[in-house]
Amino acid sequence: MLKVKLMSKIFQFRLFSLFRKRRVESELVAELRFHLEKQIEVNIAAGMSPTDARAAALRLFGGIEQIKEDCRAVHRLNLIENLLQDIRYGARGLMRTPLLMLVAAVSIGLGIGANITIFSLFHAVLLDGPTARKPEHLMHVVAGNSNQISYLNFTDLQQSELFDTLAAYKADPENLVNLRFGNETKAVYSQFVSANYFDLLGVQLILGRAFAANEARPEADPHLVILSYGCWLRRLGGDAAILGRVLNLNGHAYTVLGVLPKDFRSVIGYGVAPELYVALNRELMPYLETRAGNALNMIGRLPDGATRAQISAALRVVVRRLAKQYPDDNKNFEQVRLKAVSGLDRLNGNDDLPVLLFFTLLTIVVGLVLLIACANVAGLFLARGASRRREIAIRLAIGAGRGRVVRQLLTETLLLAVVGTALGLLFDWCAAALLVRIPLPLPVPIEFHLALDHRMLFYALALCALTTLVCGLVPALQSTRSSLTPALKQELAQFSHRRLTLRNVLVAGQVAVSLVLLVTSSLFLRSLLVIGHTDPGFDIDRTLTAELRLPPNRYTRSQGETFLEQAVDRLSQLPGIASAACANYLPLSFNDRNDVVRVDGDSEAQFNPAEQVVGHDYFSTMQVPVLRGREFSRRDREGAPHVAIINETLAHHHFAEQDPVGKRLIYGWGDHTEPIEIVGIVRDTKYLTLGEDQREILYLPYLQYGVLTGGSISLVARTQGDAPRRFLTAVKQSIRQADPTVALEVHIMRDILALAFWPTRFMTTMLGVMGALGLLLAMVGLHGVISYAVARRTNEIGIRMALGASRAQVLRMILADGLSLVAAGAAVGLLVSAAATGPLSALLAAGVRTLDPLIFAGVTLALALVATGSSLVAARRSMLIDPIIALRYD
Amino acid sequence: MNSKADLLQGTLDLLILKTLALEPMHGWGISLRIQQISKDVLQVQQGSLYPALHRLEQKGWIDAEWGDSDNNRKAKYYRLSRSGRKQLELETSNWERLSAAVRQILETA
Repeated sequence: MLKVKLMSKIFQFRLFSLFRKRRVESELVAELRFHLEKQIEVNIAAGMSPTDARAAALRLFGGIEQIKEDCRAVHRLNLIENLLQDIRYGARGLMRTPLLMLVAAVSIGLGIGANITIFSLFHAVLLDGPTARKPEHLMHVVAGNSNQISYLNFTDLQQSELFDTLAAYKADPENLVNLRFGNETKAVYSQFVSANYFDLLGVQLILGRAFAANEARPEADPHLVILSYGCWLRRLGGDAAILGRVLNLNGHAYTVLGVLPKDFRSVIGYGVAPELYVALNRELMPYLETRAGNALNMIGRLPDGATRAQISAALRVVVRRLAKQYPDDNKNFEQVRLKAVSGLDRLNGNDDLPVLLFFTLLTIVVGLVLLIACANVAGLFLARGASRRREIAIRLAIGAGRGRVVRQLLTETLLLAVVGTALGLLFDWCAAALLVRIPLPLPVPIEFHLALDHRMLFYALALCALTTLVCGLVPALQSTRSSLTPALKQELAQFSHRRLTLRNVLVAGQVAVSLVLLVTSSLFLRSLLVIGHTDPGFDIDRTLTAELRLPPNRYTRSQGETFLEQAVDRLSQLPGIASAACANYLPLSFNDRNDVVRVDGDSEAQFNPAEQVVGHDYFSTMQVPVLRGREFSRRDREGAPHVAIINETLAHHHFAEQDPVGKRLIYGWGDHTEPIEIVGIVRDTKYLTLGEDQREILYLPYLQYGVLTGGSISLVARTQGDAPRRFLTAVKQSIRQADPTVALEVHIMRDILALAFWPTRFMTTMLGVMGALGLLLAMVGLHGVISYAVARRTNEIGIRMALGASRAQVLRMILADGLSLVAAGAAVGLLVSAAATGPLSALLAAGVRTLDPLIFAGVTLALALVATGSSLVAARRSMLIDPIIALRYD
Repeated sequence: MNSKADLLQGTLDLLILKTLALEPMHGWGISLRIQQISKDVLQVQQGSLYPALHRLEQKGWIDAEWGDSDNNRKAKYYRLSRSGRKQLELETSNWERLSAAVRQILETA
């Protein structure tokens, strides 16, 4: 209480001071004058002449201005006043060299902009929570014997009323729905949610309403859907009369209840943006009555005032009760876990590690770029400080404290940093607008909402403060340290090289950092080239692919079989098509599945080959040579003996010298094993990425191991000629005729493959841009250092020339100084690169060595050339020096 | 000049408070009084006096008001406030403890 009163009193006084400044000032003057007059009277009384008396009194008084300043400091009158004054003065100072300052501000802006953009991406991908009322009260809830829970257990937990609201959504990784609109059917990524899902979030819809509890109970088999903003706008044309309309999903009629807001973020995180939110019903969730059928993820809202630990403990009791009540279905039913939906807490150690690493790498890269920009600006201010030594010396001599001068110099840097940060925010705004437009080649729709919110602004402010300190503090301290006398006499420290040491170190550091960035980006570029020339092992020039998705539960097994056989046959009979086949998915399509397998008779050596399920004629269609044995035929179907084909690498690793054809593999583990006979060996192909090390692949026949009752299937067709693009429409029509409710995407293989290049291309571009930016900034710094050295040594150069040095010799001397900096920086950069690129090998294509001598030499050479050019431009001025003028330079 | 003792850090505040305990006074008067009473041993530098006065005023230990001096001249008079009186007692006892301790050391060592 007392403290508050005191604070407010101080504040009032400050305000008073500010407004009554003039009065305080005049009172101060009057008070001091009174004292002075008294002293003069005393002096006159002692017999001095009035003039002497006055002089003596003044002498005794000391510096009146200094006393006034000290009194003002007591009143804190100066704080704001000084700041404003510093800002005015700083702005004037900066405006004296507008171009230089613009370059400095832009480089800080680029650095800060890049940092904010990466941070906001990082935030959006990993940390951002869902759009919800009080998201900090929302928790991912895991209870029971797996990460998912069955519907019956979920409703029991709901009835325990531990949570304010407990909702669930289906955790199927393939949450696709066939949305039929007009004569197109598309597989659309959706979320299947419990009736209270939007009540839990507390989200306001922009159109219509959320599910009501009664109408959307899964037992009532609701057919209700809520659209995302993007789906409504893009797929349905932003139809204003959408509410109550009936959509065809998976061949059934669903009623549209509402549309979500534009910036809605889902609870899944990572920017994953489902297009449809469908109320759970029997079709989407057939096992409503199976207590052991774990399929739902839960999210709960903590009741007001309850802590996570309390709810966790209470939940444990309920879970134990459920385990006791249903011992058969709820085996090992004991897990209880609550996890926040946003912030670092929501991260999943293992799953999110690569993404975290990726962003750490990006953060380091943009951090380095900002550091380079800062080093540049610091160098600039060092040079300014050096050329302003006289001004600073005068300020110190007439009584400014060192702290006061440092503050003044820092204000200049702050001003620059603020301008830079403003530019940075502008850059970020542009970059964000660009970034959200880049379509990501991922199997699920991703939307980032990179709005500049208070967190980003706070981050920007922190960067601004950091930049000010990094750029300004050292130069300010250094330029106020100089001893006064030589500075006042305007003596330049001509032959002392020490003064520039720090600046030299900065430039060398810049060179080192940009070298590291350039080496890294070159490694990625090399990786990209390697990938570009990698043969995936199958025909990519004459093939088309069709991704289809059968509506779930519409086909029986034999119906599915018939549909597939007919689709493939019809496709292969199209004029111009040489052959066609089916597969569960195609290689290089971001799908990855492993099997557990061992060689029959060898119980020890279990291994995990990549798996692909393919139909007959798959290998001939893809032009993958069968090296031994045969490929799958129509006869490899249910009822016939189970067979498999392996690739060369698998054969080589596990059968050494023997012929694998005719040998048997034991497929599966535990109680679910079965023998399969190997009937062929095929040439190696790439599986998940072009850059990967060759993997072991096990092929299984589609009619034995494929899913036929619904879900995704890939078809592939090879054309006779070289222009597969011409067949896109024909292929599309041929499949749509078979069943119009099948969702369909048809592409030529080349386009699909372009996606496989995406991550490497992104990293290459990113690092390349940053490296180039860094190099550019470093060269500006180098140019500045050399120009300054030439200016500073004009006198010396004049003497040298007068004594007979040729212009070439002078040029060589100046160049050697500059290039020795570059050499030192490059040496450090090479060492750091050699150490730092090691961990990158995981992100590079197989066969790209991180210590590639060609890259290291090439980058160093390029850097040396650029540096020499930049130094030459700056050093040229030394040749223009006229010895006569130079000697008079003082 | 060197014969005059420099003021120990922090003692100026004490001396000002003590001087003002007798009667309200302006800055000139304070410096004069300190000089007289200390028989010219202590001379207060104006450079420290006025900032100290303003500081004490800021802390609320002394109040200031403008009053008439001789010849109808206006002067800023300082007066000890109630909290200033308490502060004076506190600082006096502190000073006595300190000087006693110093004397003790000088006599025994």
